[in-house]
Amino acid sequence: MLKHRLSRLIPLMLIFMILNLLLWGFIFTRITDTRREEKIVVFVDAEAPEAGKLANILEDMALSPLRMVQVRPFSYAMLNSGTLTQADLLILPASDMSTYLDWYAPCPDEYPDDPDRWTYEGVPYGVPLDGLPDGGSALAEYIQFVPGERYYLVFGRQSLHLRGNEGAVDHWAIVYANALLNGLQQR
Amino acid sequence: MTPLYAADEARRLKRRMYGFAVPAIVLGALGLAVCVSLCAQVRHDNIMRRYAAVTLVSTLTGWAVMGMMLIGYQSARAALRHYTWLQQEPPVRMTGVLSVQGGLFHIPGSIVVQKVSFSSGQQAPRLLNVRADRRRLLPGRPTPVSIECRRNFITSFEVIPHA
Repeated sequence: MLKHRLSRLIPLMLIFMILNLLLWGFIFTRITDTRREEKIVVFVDAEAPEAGKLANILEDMALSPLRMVQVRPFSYAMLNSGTLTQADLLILPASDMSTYLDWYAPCPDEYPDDPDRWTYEGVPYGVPLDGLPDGGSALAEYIQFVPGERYYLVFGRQSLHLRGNEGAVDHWAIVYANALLNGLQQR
Repeated sequence: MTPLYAADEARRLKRRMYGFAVPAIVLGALGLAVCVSLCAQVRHDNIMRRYAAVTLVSTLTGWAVMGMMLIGYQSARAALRHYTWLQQEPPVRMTGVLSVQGGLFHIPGSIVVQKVSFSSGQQAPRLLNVRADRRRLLPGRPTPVSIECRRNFITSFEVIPHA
């Protein structure tokens, strides 16, 4: 009798486990995400083993009305490059700067002329992350920068948090960019 | 007579149903509450750990609930339905030789039964049923018995001693 019941129960248990994993995966995606207007997304073209901690720090230090900060390595968008093109901020090595040119917004006016900025056809795009990759920056605790490579912070062309972009709702990308550029020291 | 159904069978089965259903509901609700509280503690740096904890808790709780409901509750409910169905017919008393036939048979949506052959002499042997969980009470080899039967189910029997 028990054998008969178990022969029905075990397949149901396996089906339940699979559905359970999918259901909670969906729920976790929903509760750990929000609308683009309410979050800042930073994509890093490097290994970012402590991306979650960096996102927490950025969330805590910036007194913005935004609900969420997401820091993702490029590999996160492996299956959906759309999230990369909609990033608010990008951290890229100098060697890859020309590759993603279509995604960049020109440097906002808040950044004064700096000979170290990365420019393309005379338009400045990348702001250098000073002190990297020699461990001088607090960012190196969260992102594994490639030694000897210079990294730049770039604003996303489709960001909704950069004035001048199409559909922009605010200018808060600047606050988070400053936090990153200052080695997570709030200005 | 050796009864194969207790006098308070229906009450006993109902108690058994609630005995499984209530703890299953309580356990399910507790598991859900734990999962919701774990979800409420999600931060960037603990998403994967919380996800693992939630899926583990919900899977184990779900399995336990399924086990209680499918093995305990459903079998008690099927037995109660079977017992109620039996009670709709008056008992018939017969005398003859009883012998166990073959293995167990599961009636879909109902109980598991043991088939027995009952031969009353002049007529051809009849196939009757005995609830499987009481089959050990039956005599091991063909034995003269007096039985009480409802809807082809033996509800009690008595071994007739040899004259």
